[in-house]
Amino acid sequence: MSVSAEVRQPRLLLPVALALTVIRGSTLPWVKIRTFSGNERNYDLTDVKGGVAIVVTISFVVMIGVIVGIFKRLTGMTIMSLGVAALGWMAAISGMLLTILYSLIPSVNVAGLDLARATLSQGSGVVVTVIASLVLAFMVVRQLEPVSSYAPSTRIAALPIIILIPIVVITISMNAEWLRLGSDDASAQALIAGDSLYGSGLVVLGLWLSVGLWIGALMINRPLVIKFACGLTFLVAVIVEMYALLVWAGGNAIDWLVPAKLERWTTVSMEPQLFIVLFLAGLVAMMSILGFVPRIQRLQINLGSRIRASSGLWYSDVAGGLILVFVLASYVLG
Amino acid sequence: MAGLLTYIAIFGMTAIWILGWMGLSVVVGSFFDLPLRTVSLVGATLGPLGFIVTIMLGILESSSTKTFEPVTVAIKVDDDPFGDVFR
Repeated sequence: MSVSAEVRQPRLLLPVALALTVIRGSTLPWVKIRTFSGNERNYDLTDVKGGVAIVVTISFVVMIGVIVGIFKRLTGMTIMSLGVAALGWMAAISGMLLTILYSLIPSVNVAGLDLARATLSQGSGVVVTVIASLVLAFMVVRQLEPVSSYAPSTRIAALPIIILIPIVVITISMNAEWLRLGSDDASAQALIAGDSLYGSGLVVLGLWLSVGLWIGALMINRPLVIKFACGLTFLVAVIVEMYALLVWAGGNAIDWLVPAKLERWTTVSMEPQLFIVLFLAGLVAMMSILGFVPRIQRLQINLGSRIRASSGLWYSDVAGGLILVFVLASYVLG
Repeated sequence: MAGLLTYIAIFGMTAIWILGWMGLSVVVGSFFDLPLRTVSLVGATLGPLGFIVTIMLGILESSSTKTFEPVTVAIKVDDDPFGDVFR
């Protein structure tokens, strides 16, 4: 293989690290059920009957992809991407179906638990699995024509990165507790997560779509993609802000206006995640409006060289190495 | 047995999801004359997002002004295409 052919190929370490992250994500919590007794139960893919076999099958496909990728890089990456995309979609579909179903019909039974006496939300495994599989998919897609002609080489747009970080934090915070209702006897405690509120499953779906669109805007550097992502993000951010405001105002209203409190719930406390969402949703909505300004769309970060830094380090290898360290650390610490 | 059935059901559902979005992306991609390989991979790996990306790629491709390489054709001025016939 000539040197010039080697240079044009994407490096293998980052795709492998992302594939391993997706597999790791399948063993992290996908569904979180918080009972009113204050207990929290987590379920991942391996808790489902046949779940371990699914993880083994996907790992086998990834292994084939890695071996093929040594000889034919793009083909190997495509095999890996298709394998982990299956896992990513399993996480996304299961999470979405359950949270949408629960957020519209709260008295459904899951894992033998009546959810009228508990709250249900997505776990951190869904976030890890979906984001890593989407990034790997975009890494493959950007090598193909005509996407490659729109993919940035030495500069990346700044706006997608600036907006992606708060949106991912909002998505994670939606799965976390916003409100804590307690009782005097301390035996009952209700933890209300953002995505367990009525109709919030669809909002989480919108959030995921906007995360994906901003990853897409990173890969396809065109104003049309940024405008589209800005439009959807603004809509979703405003809805999330309204949810957070209603929960904040509602929680305070219960606390201030009802002296005897409601039924057995005597204490109402707001969790820090609620204020994080309140602040970030407003910030994201504002930045989405700014994203329509051509000058803001043109803001770019210069990477210097797509191939390697002046120090001789490969950017993608550094990123891949860091991700691998995190994955290994999560196995060791988990 | 239950494990096997769940395995088949989950993979079946995921396969329908992936193939469904791939099919939709291929249909939209063919409308915009996008390469089949790209469109099917975009749809299969990115799902609903791939469908949106295909539409945006289609719009970008159809709105971009195409530039053509100038082609130089060497013509001999005294060349007679019917020379052989009327000789």
